[in-house]
Amino acid sequence: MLSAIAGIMTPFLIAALGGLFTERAGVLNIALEGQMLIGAFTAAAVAGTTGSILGGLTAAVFASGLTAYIFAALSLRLKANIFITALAVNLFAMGGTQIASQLFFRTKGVVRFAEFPGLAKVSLPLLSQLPLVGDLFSGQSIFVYIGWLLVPCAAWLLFRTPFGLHVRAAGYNETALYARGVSSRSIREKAITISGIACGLSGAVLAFNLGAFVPNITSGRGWIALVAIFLGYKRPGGILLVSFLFAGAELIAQGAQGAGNVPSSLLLAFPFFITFVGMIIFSIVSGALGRTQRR
Amino acid sequence: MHSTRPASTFLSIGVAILAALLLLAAMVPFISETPLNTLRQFLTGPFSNRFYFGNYLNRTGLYILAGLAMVISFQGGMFNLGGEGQVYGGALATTLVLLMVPRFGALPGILLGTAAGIFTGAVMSGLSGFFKMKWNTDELISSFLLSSSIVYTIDYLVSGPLRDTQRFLLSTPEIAEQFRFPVLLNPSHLNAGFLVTLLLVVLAQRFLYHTSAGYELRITGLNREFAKYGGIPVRRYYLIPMALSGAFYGLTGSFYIMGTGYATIQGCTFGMGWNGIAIALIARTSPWLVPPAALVFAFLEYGAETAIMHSDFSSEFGTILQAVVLFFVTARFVKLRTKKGEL
Repeated sequence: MLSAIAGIMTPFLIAALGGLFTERAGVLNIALEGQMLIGAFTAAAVAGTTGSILGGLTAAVFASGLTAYIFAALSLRLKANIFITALAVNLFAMGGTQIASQLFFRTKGVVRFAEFPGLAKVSLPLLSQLPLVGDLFSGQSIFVYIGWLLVPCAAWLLFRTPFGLHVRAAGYNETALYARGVSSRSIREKAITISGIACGLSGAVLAFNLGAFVPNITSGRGWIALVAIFLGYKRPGGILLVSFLFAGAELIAQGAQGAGNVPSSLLLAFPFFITFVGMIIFSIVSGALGRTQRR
Repeated sequence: MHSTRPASTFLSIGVAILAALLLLAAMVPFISETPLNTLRQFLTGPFSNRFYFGNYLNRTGLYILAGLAMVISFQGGMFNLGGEGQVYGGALATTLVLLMVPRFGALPGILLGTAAGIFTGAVMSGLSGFFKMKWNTDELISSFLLSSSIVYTIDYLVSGPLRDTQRFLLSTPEIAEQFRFPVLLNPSHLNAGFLVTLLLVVLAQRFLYHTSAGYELRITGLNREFAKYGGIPVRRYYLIPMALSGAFYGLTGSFYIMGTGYATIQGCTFGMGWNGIAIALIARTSPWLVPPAALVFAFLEYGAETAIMHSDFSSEFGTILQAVVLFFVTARFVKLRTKKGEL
């Protein structure tokens, strides 16, 4: 149970940690979904044809990071509405991956590869012996541990470095940043690029777990990651907790499908619905606590 | 959200459309062995005969409704990102209501079906507005999430419990003959709904610019603080633009069912929600400019479809087209100082 949740939560967690930087920099990045999809396709295509996990990973991070950088640079420099351009990224990823899939692999359906490199299962010594939580540390793919390592990394980068300070200032008090002679545009560009790199990694993890590319493989995970940032109070630790909860919900949904009561087509609606409900509950609760959200 | 700088505005719209055209032209050699012929088909396709021309206008009509939905949302300073689900929901509601009353006369049935579509869209979108008003829930995300869950639920209903097993498509049964809008141009799908749509453009313009509610909606959308000091009850203008926008999207679904599809087919409304956003932005959120914007957008899309009908890419092409237009349509190519919060 815990072991499965750890596997499911990793893509949410990594994408949300990346999105945290844009959120803190004052940009609501609704392109996470598209960035993830591009990462997933690139990872599957490269790893599947070259047989190299590392190659697929590098290509995915590069493709998604580059997309994010172009998206950021064009929207911020041409002062386009960033929600609209983010929608463009999502739509482009949806159509683009399908067209590329047809061009390279002659199918718009599931792309399978003869020899997709497998992921090694790693158990951490000592930690895997712990009672109750030991499952979290035994027999997981390496990316699960990378995801957890990224939580303190993101916290350090955001709260303990000058760059992190600039990111937070870009979202909190742009004028102060301007007075210090730092361009908030350049900080936001960097933050969006970071989110792209994280989404590339996150999408790659999705593709590696399946060992194939499935159309719309992300199925809303980018949006869930975005909501997880809010629900985690825009803190890495909070995001970790919320990702865990969402992964638990998804596991229950999969269980329902396994029990044969719920048709699989209806299950596609479930993550969106549960995220919607989670978001509403969160805003009611935080409203009652007197906290205010952005915008 | 209203641009006061025509030069930059028209430049960005021009670049958006030009970029879309160039992209399509650049794709042609990949998908066709006779590129020049394909290109010619692309440019003249919609006008080549009555069937194509009528269907082109028919699609334009639906896009006008979707565009108006987003115009109202943007004018009220709200972002309704749930158009896909609202169109689909409106279509299904209309279908179900009309299937329940097969013996009704034409007019009461059509009115009932339309009301069902409008109501469904308005409630779906209005919910997001309500949550924004009550608890400050981001309407952009909540409308998208709700709409997506509805889209998948309807996909399931249409392929399962509500499916007409007599048909090959994943589809509900068809609505009765008397509820179908009269066709204006045989053999195409162009129907009387198109005329009603044009009337609605005028009504939307009258509402936004010649009624006090429309004025309050626009002022609140332009500057919420200013509107508040002007004594406008700004809180309700979280809900009103969202509900109205959803109503127009729901109506799009209704008109699609009664004029074009006659049944809810899986994925039948794909893209209309996104197209509404693109069209409202090309029209610079002005109701008068929505019909020409819809004509241009539908031309790009329809031309591409007729030209590449025999290739493998027809549906993805529409998506890429939306992406390209959205990418450039709000860009500012002339360096000008811009106000915060302006589209």
